[in-house]
Amino acid sequence: MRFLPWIFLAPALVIYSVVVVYPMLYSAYLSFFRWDGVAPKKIFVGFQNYVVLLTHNDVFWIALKNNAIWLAAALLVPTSIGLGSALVLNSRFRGSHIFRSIFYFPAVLSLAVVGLIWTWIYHPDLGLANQLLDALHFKFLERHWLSDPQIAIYPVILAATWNAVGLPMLLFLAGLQTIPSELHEAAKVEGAGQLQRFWYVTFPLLRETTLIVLAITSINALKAYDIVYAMTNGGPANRTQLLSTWMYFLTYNYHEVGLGTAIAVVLFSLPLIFAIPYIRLMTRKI
Amino acid sequence: MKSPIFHAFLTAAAISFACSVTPTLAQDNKPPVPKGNVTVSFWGIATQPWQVMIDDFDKTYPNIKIKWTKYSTDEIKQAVRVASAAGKLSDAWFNWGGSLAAPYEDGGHALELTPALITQYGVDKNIVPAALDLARHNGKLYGIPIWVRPMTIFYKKSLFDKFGIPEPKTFDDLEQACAKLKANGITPFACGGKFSWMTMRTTDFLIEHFAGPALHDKLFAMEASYSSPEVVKAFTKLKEWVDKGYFNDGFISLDPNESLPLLFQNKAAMTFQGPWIEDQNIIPAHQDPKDYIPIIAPADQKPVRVSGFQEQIQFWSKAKPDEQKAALLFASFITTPDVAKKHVSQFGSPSAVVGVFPSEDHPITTTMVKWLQSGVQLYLPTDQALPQEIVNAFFQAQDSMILGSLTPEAACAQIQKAVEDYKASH
Repeated sequence: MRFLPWIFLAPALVIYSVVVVYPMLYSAYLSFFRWDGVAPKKIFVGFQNYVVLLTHNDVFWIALKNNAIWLAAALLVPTSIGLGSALVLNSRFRGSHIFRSIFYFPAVLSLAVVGLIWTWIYHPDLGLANQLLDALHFKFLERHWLSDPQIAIYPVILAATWNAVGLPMLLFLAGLQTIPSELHEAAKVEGAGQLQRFWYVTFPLLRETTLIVLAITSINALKAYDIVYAMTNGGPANRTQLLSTWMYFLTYNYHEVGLGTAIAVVLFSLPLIFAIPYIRLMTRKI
Repeated sequence: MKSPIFHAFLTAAAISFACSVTPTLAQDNKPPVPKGNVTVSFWGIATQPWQVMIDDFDKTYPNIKIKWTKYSTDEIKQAVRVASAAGKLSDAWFNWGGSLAAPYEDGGHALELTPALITQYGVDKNIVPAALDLARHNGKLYGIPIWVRPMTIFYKKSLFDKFGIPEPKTFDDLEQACAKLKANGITPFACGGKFSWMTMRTTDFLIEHFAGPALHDKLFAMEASYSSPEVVKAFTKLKEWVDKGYFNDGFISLDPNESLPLLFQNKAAMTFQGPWIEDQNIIPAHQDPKDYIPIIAPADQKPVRVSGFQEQIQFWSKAKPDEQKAALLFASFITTPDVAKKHVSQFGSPSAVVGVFPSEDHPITTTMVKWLQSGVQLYLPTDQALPQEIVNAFFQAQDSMILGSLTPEAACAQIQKAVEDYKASH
């Protein structure tokens, strides 16, 4: 009977091992070779791919920097907007259910579709962004949004943010509904203002929800791939590459499987920084 | 040492499109038909007209089923790469040539069409020699060419007429046309540079103009330096055109498909494209194909060449014998002149099959086929001529120069460094 749980777990473990664990280990193994992904022979190069990435591959550093910007933006913007929307929508005013659906709507779209929509919004000649600025007489603000290497990553992040607000909002709403109304009433009786009630009652009681939101948002930010692929293809001149997209391009487009899988190892390691505390927190809860 | 691609250029240059070859079916030596029911897995581009040909094949060989999996351009490259590494390729797949096919040919994944197979499946009789030469790798054939795709400058006749601009016959004419269009508020070139290969077509044309065919081929063979003054001049001219506003705003991040509406809306007057736009873009947009005139991109060089490539069906060398035979039979069937002629209206762009000409309602393709028949030759685009590792450096250097973060000299030096690194590691 001691082995019964393992017997029940076995099918899932086998599938997980075959489709997740083995490819991960094999990718790590490939990162020590020079290989074009097709040739019968792989040449062992030790840690050379990692050295090349860190010392010779400029795009790797651009991608890492973009990932850091993306992560910071993801932790700050969608979570704040999500919390703000949740606080407003939790007050149960007339039509709040409709607004919940409207605000959550972008989250149900795939990032590829979101990318397509925003690519047209940013179109330099035919796009809504520049036409709107023109109509409002802010012509000086018009930009080639996705073509300017200095700013191109930010319009992509904005599009991703539009999609990413829904989930934190939903989680915060769920968290808010677990807070007993008596606590707010007691604080009100004690003379606490709206801001004080939020800071001393609501926010501390949302601690666990906030941690979960931050962990999920961070992991999603580091996983970002499809929206960049759809909107800029990593360009212009690789300025919007993320580690995930650069990994893809090196592996599949430029036949540098060793370098691509070395990025995969780096990319795998980064989310662990957020995933491990998240898992520990969840385990402790159980 | 000259690369096989370079040899392919020379051979292609030596032989014209050779539509004079008499169309003949390989009737004396009929290809073998597998007995029993066979299903052939085939990977092809979703926008190409495979279904019509598959239906026709199914009627002729009811025991063979072609299972077509549809991919986009970039998806199929990824799918073939992953599948070949996993040893699970489809029985047949659509592919380009040059360095995009070379890894599968060198790696033993693509079936070599031996002289016996070539004869047995009528490839030597049914396919024009120029297409076969473009398809050969190290002198061997690893697929059956279906289309030959020249790429060149198209101009919008109604706009040129409106501003009294004559059709450009020389490089100077082209520059004058650009200047006049720009002065009249029209963007000379509509371009979508998001994937870098559409911009590359103009870069290739400028290299052909400044370096000439001999040096251009040497560059592809990695026997000449990208830091040569001629290449630097080509990159400098590209940057000059960008700075003069000869390309649409923000073109560097636009999808190629997003650039064509500029032509349709009379906001741009020219584009660097292939004959496929006739079926895929111009006709569906209810535009008059006669208003979009392809011209031989005026490089002012001899021999007269335009960029171009062939597209082929390749076969998995490790497929089961019956599936392999059926896959070869399918490719052979659709490239027999009678069948190809029957499907010519769907086929669109220049067929690689002898004696097959576009239908009359395809003026663009007709014009381009006439060029090829009259001796206009083809050179591979950079992204098929150079190894993909170098293509990456080429794209980055080209786009960085356009964005102003590299000088033309630095961009050329960066490409040359990639060439030297590649040569040192291979």
